[in-house]
Amino acid sequence: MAFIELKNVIKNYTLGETTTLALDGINLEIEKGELVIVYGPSGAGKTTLLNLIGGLDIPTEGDVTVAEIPVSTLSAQWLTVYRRKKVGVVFQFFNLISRLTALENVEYSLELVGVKENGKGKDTVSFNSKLIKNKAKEYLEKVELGDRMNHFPSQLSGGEQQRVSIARALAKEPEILLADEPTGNLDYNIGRKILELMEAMTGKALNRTVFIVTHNDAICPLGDRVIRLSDGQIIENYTQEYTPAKELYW
Amino acid sequence: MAKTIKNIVRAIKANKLRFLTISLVIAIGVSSWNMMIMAFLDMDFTYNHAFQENNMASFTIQTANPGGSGSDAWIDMENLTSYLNEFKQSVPSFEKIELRIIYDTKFVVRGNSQNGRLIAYKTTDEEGNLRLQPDVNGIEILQGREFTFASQYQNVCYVEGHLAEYWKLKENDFIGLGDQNIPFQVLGVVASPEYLMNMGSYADLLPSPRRFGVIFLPLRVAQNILNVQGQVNEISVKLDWGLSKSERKHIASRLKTYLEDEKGLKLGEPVDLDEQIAYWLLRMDIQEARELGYVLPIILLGMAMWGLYILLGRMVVAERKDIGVAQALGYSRKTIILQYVGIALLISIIGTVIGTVLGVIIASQFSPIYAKMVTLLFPVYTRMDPVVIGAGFILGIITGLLGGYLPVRNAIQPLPAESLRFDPSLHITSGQIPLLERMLKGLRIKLRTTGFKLPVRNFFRSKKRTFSSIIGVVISVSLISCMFGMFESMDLALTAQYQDIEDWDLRVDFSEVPTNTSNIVSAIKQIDGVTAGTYSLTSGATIFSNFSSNSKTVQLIGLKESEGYLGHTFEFKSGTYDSEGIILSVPVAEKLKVKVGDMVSLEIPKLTKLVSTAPLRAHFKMVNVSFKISGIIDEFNGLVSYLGLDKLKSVSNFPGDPANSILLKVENPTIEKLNEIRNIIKEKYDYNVRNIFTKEEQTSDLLVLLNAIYYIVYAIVGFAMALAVIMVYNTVYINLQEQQREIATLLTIGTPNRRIIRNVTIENLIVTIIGSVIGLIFGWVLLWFMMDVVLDMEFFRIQLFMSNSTIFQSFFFTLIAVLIAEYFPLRRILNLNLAEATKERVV
Repeated sequence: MAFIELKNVIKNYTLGETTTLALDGINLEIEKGELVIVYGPSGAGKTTLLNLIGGLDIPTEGDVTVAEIPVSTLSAQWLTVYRRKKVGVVFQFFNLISRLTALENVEYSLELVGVKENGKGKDTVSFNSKLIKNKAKEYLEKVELGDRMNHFPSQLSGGEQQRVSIARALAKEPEILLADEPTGNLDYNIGRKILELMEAMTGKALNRTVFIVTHNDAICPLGDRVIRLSDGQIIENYTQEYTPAKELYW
Repeated sequence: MAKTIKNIVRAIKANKLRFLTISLVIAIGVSSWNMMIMAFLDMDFTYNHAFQENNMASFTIQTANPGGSGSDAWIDMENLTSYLNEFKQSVPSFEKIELRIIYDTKFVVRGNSQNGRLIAYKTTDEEGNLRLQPDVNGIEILQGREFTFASQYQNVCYVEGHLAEYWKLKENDFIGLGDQNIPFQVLGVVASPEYLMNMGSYADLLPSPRRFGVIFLPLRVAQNILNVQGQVNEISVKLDWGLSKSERKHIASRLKTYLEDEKGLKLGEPVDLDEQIAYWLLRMDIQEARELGYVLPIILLGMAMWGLYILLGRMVVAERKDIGVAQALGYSRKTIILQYVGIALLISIIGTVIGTVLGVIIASQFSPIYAKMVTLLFPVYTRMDPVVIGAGFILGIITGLLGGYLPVRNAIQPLPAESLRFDPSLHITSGQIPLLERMLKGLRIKLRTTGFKLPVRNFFRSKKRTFSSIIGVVISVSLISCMFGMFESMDLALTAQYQDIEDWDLRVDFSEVPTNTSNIVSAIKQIDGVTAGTYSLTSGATIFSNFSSNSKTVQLIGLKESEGYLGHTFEFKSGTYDSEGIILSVPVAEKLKVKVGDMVSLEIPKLTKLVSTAPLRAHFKMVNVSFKISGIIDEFNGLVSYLGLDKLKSVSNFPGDPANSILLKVENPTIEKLNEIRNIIKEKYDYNVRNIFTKEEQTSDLLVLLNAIYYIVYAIVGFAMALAVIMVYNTVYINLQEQQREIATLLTIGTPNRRIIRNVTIENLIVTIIGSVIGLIFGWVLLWFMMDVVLDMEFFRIQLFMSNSTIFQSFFFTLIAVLIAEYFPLRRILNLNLAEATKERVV
């Protein structure tokens, strides 16, 4: 069984009297550790696909299975647990908590799941605040924000905020990382740096499955797999040799 | 313009619940304005109508000793008439005069004796023709038939409405008069403007028809039974209604001087209309209503204005980009402001219209209900006052205009480019760690990010909205604590007075003052169960001091100490009991500006000639006697003074052991035992006993009133909670809506719902705690204002009291209201579509 499976997935949205078909009979299999670029024009269903995999939404019809978990049939409570333990999300508009500093934003995520520590030869999860703080700092340093940890989001630039968002998503070491237009709000240089960061912090070595949604086809070479959507259907689904982020240009 | 109106309606529809709550507050404010002001005007008109239509006396003058015998008690009517006719030549504003007999005596009604007052007036005019009404202090026949010409030769009477209602008396019933229990047939039931409230004197704290009632007789009949043929003891004068109090008092004073100095009469002090008990009490009552009628609506409309200010302020911030687009397209600032002001205006118009209609309906019902509560027997007039309605309407509209214009005016300042760049989501924090958190950090108290950190920072996030929530809590807690405090204060005062201070189980009131009371008490003490007995003499006195030009008329009680038993346990503010000195109450001492150790002068009747001892009949003259103040008491009864009975007796020259009440202590005072003793006393002394009652009987009417007040208190508690729900709901809603994307993000990254609920609840709990502390302080201030300023009655002295239970309940009920208020916005936010909410740039 593939790590992520979507079978005959249909998703409708009803707004007032209008029903919009966002996804129309999607069938998909993704292996663990793949970096998947989901590409397509506006309204193609890219974000909807991500939301169904991430447990933010449930399909109208069909099944979504992730790591043998039937995500599409989970209750709201179990979906929360699923998102907490399995999924990391990077948002287009960063979505940092404005009243928390960069460090606290990452700590928040870690306080939900705890920090793994290897004690007496066995992995345990600790909620010790010192351990959590250290882990948060570690990830902020990885995203090169070691000197901006105590700043609030309103004091950070767009690129810095997105880096905090990445640190927050990855600090809890999720199996799946979902990034919806992570560079959509950033200029080229910063956007490329963000992609480089994500590339470095994910990848096959870490066995983390990554989905990046974009409407920018210049980013497509970054992925192991490219899924092109149009009008809620998969037009193309192919694997490729990936191109490092630093070689991308748009 | 059409587009603007369309936008206004659309905006209201999008936020209908929140705008509805503000409309509701405006409606309550406007309706309370209409209701209370119009009720005040209605009652004012009703009272004035009753007084004017029935020719209420401008002043009355009684003889110096109206219950006695001799020249200081009675005046020849014919002579008096000619004196008055002579005097009125010099006073153009003299309209009418009525000569009457006013006599306090015993009634026997359905086998029960009680205190009463008979009022007798001439039923014929100067030509000898029948007249149906006295010229002054008229009456209205509610039921029955009129006096006839023959009535002046018959034992017939009218019964005043309160007495009739209590004993269910009607036409052709009989009541007994005086110690001889002379039967009188009831011809009818009447209402009298002098007895709109059934009170015999200021000293009667707990007026009840069971203890005091009034009947009206033809003058000739009264003269015959009292054996004072051709005589009267009261002059009632009606002057021009438009005269001021000082003008009336001047004329009254001139008349008294004229009659005393030139005609040798002996008269008491004139009683002006404003000092007439019922008139005074009722005017004070509606004055209090008027004060509340102005204050309460202003508070409510202020709250509504603030609510609108917050709501519209938030709307403008959220829509700043749209405003920028509108400005870029060429819409003027004025047009944009008009749209938002239009929203506020429409909400306030809706609220004002509802409030006006409600207020008018309630006002028309309120006055009759109030009249029934105070047992007003005259017809109640309810009128729609267009000025009041108009003023209420304007107040409601102004609330909307100010609440709408002020937040919008400044927010639409920026250039279009600034508005277009504006990201609301970046403007929901100050980017600072609150001082409280820094202080806690200094104390090495660290808050977890998923713990208290977020709620604490949220609390300080938007000071205006937090302030608004706190205001809602403050108003709720202060109203609840004030209401419970008022009730508790009254309850405690009554409990202290009638359980601790009034140290007796049975009280015997005599019709006539016996002079062998000590023998009577000794005999009663032989009754099985009676453990102690003493007696007291109550009269009136006027106290003067050298430290103030004020004087005070009080109930003067002479207490006899029998084997250490006084019948009264004093609650001293200062000083102590000294049988040679005088004890004043706090209000009297404050009015006279005196303290313990000072000398005061009492004007009291001194017996000059003893006519008989059984019953006690004598001639008196008013004398001034000095006393040293030995103590000042802080008790429920505000207009009372005490001294030793022996001292009072000696300065008044009374013979023997005079008293008008006996106080008894009973061992194991069950109802059965008390009734047993009561029956024995009645059997032996019924010839002179007017009333025997227990404490419970004395307080029963007031306890019924207290129970009614309790329901009103709970009604106001419900109202206060509703206000808190409305205020807090709006601010919680806005708070959560501003944080919608953030909360959606927290839920997305795996925060459980219960943690979001906990955070919001903690934040509101902090608001409730802070608001409660401030609210309790305001509650105390409001309690003081209500009890000491609005309800200032010198004859009731009530200590302010607020128990821990009240403090807890005020906090608890308000917390319930806050939790209710947060429930609806929380439910909405926890059912968000996360996919959409995380993408929105929504405030």
